[in-house]
Amino acid sequence: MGIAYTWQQTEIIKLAYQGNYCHKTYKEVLDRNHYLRYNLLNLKSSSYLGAKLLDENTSYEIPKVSQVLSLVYPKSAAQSNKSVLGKVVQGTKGTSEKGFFLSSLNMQDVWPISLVTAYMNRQAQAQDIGNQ
Amino acid sequence: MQICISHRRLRTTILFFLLLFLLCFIRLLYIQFFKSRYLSTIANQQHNLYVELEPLRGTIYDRHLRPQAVNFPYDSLYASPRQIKDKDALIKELREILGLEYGFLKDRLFRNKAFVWVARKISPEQVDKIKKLKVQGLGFVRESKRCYPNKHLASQEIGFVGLDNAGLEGLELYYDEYLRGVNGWAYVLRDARQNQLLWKDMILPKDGNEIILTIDEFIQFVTERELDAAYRKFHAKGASAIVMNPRTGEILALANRPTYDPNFPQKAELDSRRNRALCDMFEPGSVFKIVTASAALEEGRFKESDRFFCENGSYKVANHILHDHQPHGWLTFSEVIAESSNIGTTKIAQGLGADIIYHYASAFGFGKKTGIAMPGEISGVLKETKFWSKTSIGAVPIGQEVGVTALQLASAISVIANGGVLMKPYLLKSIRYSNGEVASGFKPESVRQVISPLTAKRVKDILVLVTEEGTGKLARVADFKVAGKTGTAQKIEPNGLYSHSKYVASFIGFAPADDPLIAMVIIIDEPHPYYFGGVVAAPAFKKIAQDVVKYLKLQEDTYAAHEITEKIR
Repeated sequence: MGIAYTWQQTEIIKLAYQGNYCHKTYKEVLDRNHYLRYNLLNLKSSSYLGAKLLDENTSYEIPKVSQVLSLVYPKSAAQSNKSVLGKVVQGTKGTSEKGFFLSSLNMQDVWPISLVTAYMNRQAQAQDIGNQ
Repeated sequence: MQICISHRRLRTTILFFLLLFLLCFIRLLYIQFFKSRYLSTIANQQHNLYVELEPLRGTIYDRHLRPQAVNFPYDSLYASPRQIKDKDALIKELREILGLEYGFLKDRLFRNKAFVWVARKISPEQVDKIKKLKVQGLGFVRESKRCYPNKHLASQEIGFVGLDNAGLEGLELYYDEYLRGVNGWAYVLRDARQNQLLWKDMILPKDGNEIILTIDEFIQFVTERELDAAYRKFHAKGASAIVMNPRTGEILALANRPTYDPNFPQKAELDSRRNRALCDMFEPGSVFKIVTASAALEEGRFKESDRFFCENGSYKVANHILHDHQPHGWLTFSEVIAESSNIGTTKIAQGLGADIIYHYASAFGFGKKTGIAMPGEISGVLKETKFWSKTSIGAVPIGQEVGVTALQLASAISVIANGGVLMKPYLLKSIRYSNGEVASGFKPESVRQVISPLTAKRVKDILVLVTEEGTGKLARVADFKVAGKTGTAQKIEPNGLYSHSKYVASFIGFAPADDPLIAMVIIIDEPHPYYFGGVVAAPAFKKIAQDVVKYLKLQEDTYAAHEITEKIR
């Protein structure tokens, strides 16, 4: 019994050493992850990006609302919502973007783009696109 | 005979071994019954190690969950001087890697101790270089270090922590009990070489709560960029800027100059760590005229078309001569504010009386702390009318003999922007547990209705005139109307007289005037060579308002686009 107990204990210690080795490897990978996350945060920070992109000497500026197109709908979901498109086209009859809508009926990939553009155009009519 | 001798030898041998056995048995009994506790304690100390488990300090986020203060694991270097052979060579190497002084390293490594700290929380590059040295007697302990990836951005608000991760300034100090978490502990089995093998009993640490601010990192960046530009251009002593949502009281940005990097607080000067927007008081000058104008219209004593003779720039009040920055003749009520005539404003105030002026100044929040959850806020100074002198009626309404903070001015201009309600400014959006669950949220809090919505609109129209035709033309933005007021206040010299060389230039306003998204205060302390608020502070207001309003409108549109797609789904 004594021998069995001692053997059991030595086996536990052996497994502990193996676990230690795996833990050391895991820790090294985790440290690397932390290091990369830290670098990523620094690079993504406004003080770094802003200094690069929005410095006085650069030609970048914040866009106006009319200059931005938001793509927020995934392609896969577009397949199941084709029936809605007809209603949207009906609702925008007589507007300048009707031609655009009709042409997009055959372009499943850009169906969400047309919806968002229509919305943006309606908003921008009160702003500078209408003036142009 | 021979048989007798052999029997005797046998008995002697047996007796000897019996005696030996008895001695062993007694020793065994002694160890088992008298020394067992002592020996098992020693064994326990050798085999097991009590380890305190440090909790992760809560992260501080901006309103869009971008990390502003976050903890990362860092190694701290220790030495066992008794095990180090060539100490001089090691000092030379460590000096080069860590940049520490020779005297400091010599003192540490020549101590007759088993454990000394050499450098705490050093960078991974430094750790790699030291490990390559392969020196016996050096080791690393893993600790947690607070990092601020945005460096000086919002440094005075966020504050910093000490070496032991306890908050020392700003929000790190104010919310330290939420952020710090609770220590855990564990008993660890060690081998003969002190390697940790098995974790036995343990209580896991409870990580600190996370706090989400109302600050928008991008708006903070834009504000700091323009404030920094104005601060440098006009060689100012100090500067502050606050951008606030006038409807809710949320602080979107709060910037001060000079500033510092909270990653290295020990290198910062004390002056740069001060949150001037809350802690510094100054005489506001002409920006305070919004109080006088609001009081006059709310009380119904005056209308926008009422005319006032501005004495061609010189007017006696008791024994004091009041001057305008530019002589005026007859001005309407609106023009008095638009052209910032001190004499015209004084005449309006004389028509109202000291009690009404004091009442409205108090209602706008001056003379009291706003109650923002930040350390170091002061209340400013607003004397009760019983302490007013005969000249005070010509001073208080134009922003003299009164002490305000930038935060009070931001709250006051928000009253005009949001239809007359004084909102309590706040910096904290919510506190949440480390698993993301919200512990407590903070909502907008309205303090009081200061003026009616109609009066607020009328004052707003006058403030639009300031930027369209008055002293604030440099704050005008092409894409939308801006409402605001300029201020150029003389500072007081140590001898008690108003200075002719030291001024506080300011601009307070909101944009767009028709549907305000932001209220803003820009304060520049001792600018030179120019010192007028309309020249020094107004351009900074314009640049910040331009970018921030575009940014906020983009956000509004993005959310609206999301709503459309959600409806379609």
